[in-house]
Amino acid sequence: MDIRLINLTKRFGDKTVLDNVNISFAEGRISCLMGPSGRGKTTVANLLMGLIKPDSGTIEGCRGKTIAAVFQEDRLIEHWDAEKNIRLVCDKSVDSEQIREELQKVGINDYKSKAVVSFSGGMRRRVALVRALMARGDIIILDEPFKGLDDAVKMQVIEYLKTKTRGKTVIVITHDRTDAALLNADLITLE
Amino acid sequence: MNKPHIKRIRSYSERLLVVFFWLLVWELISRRIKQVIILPSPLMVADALLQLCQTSGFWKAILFSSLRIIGGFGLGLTIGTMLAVTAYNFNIIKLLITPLMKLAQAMPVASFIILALIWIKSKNLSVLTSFMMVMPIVYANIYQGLASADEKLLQMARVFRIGRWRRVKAIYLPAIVPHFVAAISVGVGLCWKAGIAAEVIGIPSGSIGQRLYEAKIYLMTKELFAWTAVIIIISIIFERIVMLLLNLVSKKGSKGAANGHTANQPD
Repeated sequence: MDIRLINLTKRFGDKTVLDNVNISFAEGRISCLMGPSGRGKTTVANLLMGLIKPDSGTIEGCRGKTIAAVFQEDRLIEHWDAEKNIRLVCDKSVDSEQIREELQKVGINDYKSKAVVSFSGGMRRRVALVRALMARGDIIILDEPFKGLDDAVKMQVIEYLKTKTRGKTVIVITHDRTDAALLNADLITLE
Repeated sequence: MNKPHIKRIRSYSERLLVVFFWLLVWELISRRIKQVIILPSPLMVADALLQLCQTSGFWKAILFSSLRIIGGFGLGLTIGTMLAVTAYNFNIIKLLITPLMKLAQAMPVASFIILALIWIKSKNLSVLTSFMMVMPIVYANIYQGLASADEKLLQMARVFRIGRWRRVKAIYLPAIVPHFVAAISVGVGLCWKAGIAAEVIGIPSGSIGQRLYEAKIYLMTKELFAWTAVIIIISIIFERIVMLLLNLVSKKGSKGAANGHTANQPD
């Protein structure tokens, strides 16, 4: 089932961030939600994750589905290492070897016993991405997942993302049209 | 010898010199006053302490008071924590508890002790008093720690459906530990002061408080000083042990979160 935002309105105080918005994200595909800053992309993500409630309108297609996400900020447990951060969202069957393999796929090799607070922004972003993709969500919401990555690493991460999310509903929030093209994603623009 | 070693030796030497300086000041004042009843010299007090150490009553009194004060402290810690967790989860409980905590904080210790004497046996007075000293501080600090847990991490935990115990370990514990340490640091000192004060007022037989009271009645100032020194020493030892245990736990649970906070009083 596609995810549909129907006549959705969200206000923060006097400011209307989303005004009667209608959007549809295709099931089993990667969709890129684009638009200039301040147009409510992150608000859409927060609504989909159930972190905020709309003032009016409905969201269809999320009920009963599990969600995994990369947030606008990394939201990692700062004093824990990468493995521990990832393990936090995984079920008990996931072992260290699996986590090591996944981290290696995004170019993180040296992470044992190092608190993520000591990582660079790009490394933290990749840890957050691996965490989201190992959490086994039905819907994956990624808010600017390539922030802080250089081009080479970004290509590696995009390939990883495409492989890992095949057949899943993925919503990527980005400013960059080339990201959408590289992900071979549906393009949805918030005007 | 390496640098940190030299630094440590210097720090210890400085502390020793400071202690020696104040002992010297004490000795000089005592010589000037020349009245043992008003101010005995440090050597006289040390001698009195040595004499006391050789009696079984001394050790029994320490055991009697320590067990009760530490018991009250433990009770305050447990119930304060439980109340804070409940208040954090249920606003109605917080609303109900807040005035009681304010009352417990504002009430003069002496008034409370005298009231408590009406309600319970003097033998257990120090348990209740040290409990009443520690519990509101622990409550306020644990509550503040819980309230300061990172909201964004809590949202993350919600989205990823992270279980309660994992959530506690990852998010709440690191937020609580600094506040908990501060509460304990303040609570340990307070529970000894108030616990002994309660014993001095209630005079339970075989307690440190009773010995202090007798020393005062019979103008045994040397013994009074010696007992005061004993209370300070026990209080410091107890605080060190508690902090050591806490450091071990916090290192295991949430690395490096156990320092640099000031204890909060209940709001």
